[in-house]
Amino acid sequence: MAALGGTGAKVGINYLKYYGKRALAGGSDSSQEAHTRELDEQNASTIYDTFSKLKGGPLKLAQMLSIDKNLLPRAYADQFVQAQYSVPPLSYPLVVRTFRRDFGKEPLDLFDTFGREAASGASIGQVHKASLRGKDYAVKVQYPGVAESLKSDLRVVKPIALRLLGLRERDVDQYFREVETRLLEETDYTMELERSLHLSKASGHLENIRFPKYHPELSSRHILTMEWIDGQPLDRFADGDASQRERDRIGQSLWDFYSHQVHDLNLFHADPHPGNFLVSKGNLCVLDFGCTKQITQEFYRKQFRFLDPNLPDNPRLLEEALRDLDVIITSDTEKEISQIMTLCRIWLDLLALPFRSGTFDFGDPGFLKAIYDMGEENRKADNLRTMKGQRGSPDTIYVNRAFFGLYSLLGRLRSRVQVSLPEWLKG
Amino acid sequence: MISEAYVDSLRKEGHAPVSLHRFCEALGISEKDFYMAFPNLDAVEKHFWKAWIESIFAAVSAGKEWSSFSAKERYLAFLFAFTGEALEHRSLLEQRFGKLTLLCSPTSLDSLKNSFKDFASDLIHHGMDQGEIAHRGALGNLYPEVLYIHWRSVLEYFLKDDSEGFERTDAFIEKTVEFAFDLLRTQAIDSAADLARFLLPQIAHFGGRN
Repeated sequence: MAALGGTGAKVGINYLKYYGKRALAGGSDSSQEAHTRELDEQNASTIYDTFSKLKGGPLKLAQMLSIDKNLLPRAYADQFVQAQYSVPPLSYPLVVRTFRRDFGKEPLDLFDTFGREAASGASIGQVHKASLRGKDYAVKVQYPGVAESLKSDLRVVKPIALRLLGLRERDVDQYFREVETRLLEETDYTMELERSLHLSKASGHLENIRFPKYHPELSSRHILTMEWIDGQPLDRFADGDASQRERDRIGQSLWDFYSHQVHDLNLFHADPHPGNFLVSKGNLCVLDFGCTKQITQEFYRKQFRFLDPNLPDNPRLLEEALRDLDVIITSDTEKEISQIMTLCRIWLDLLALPFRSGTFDFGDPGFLKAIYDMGEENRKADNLRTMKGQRGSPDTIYVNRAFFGLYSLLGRLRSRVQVSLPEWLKG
Repeated sequence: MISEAYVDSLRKEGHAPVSLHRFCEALGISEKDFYMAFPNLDAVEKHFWKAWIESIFAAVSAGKEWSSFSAKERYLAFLFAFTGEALEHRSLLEQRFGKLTLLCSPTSLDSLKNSFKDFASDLIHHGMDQGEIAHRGALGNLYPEVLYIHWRSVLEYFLKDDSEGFERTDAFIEKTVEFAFDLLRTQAIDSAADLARFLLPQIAHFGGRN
């Protein structure tokens, strides 16, 4: 489906591999932990392997983009981007300093109570619990210098990645820029506030979905204040003893939320990480709009045309769709075109499967495993590795990330979801 | 008033007033008026920096949460208040202290050293009372000196920092203070000193035989 549209198809594999496998593993906490450790070690060699061996072809792109923290397994994200900001947590005096700088006031000038210890970490900051006139607030405070460090990290990582992967800068520059832009956007809480207000309003009518109320008057460039919601983090809900009915309900809400954003708004939450969702009183709460992606109507049509049920069996339409997205480029030989089309059909059969069946059971462990295995197989495929040129739109990266993330979350939830095609693709 | 005029001239001329007579004339006071307040021109600058840092100490220790802060939090609170206030005087600080190294200390900076060390030893005592800082007898007397050197390094870092909003200085403060208090809290320094006492004579001994 979506993932098929571009050469970034495999971008989500690392991500999926981690969350997907974890979802399949299930089991007790200790086995979960052991499994995670094993995965981390395994990933250590996998990543190194990939970075040093992959050359050319569309797949290189995927590896390159794994510098995006959520495309990498968490352990790597920590090492690459986050480690330096996340340990140790921000001291309270620095939180005060941030308040003084952005508001000219201290936390206790604005709130009745303010927790000195962080209630939880956020990707580039930490969350404090505060109260004012009987109401509780979640106050997200950003680590100092994050934007600055991110820029210099990317400057350092880029040439190394290019050399390791044997890439030419101009082949991948636009993908790099896309990832960099999204990462830097995450460091701007003013923009996050705007997006949060906009998306929560535009999705407010959806059933069983809740958004915290945002407080612009208590927010700034480095501080974002929203209503405090008590609830269960989505991963704990998924791994807990929720009934099938509850799982279906939450999974459906998640699915509807993404469908609405992608198909109706063309603007979506591009970070479907379990830490960004809470289950509260039977509702799904969406907590974090740090990473969102806007796509044009034109690109949307090109990308989601791949969901058209007639496409896989009509070579002319399929080739046209692939050319439209620059996955097939003018310099391709007949043989290459045929290879790409064959691969595309295989991916479509798998990834568009939920859209073909009315109700789809994401709890089927075979589904995620098949996606994972296919990714591995493609990664090893020599004919793909040797393909040249800049393929696919950079916009595809975050579409893929959103859908891979969504599939793996639903897999972890073991939800049965009612799926329908967008109106314009029906009939 | 004298102090303000002096600093104003520092900022505008880029150097200290050379002639006391001309300085007084421009200010519209007699030399006698001047000498009633200060013994010489240098003393004016010393007074300025001392009063400045003391005003920061006073401001942070009057904070609502000061009494419940640990020694580390107090020190951090001071440093963040300091870098906040230092923005007001950044160009002046750069002019006066920008080209200094840790080892070379101008007399104008020395004037605030005693005030700093008073503040630092209160802080250390608070930390020892709370069990946050280990007692180390005579070695403990060096702590205020160590904090002073640390503060100088923060000043130096801040003056060289070119990040947006000087956020890197914030990170520098966080990380170095965290590290310093880790050392103060544990017995690491004692163990290191003990190991050194054990090894040094032997190194000298074996070294001598070669």
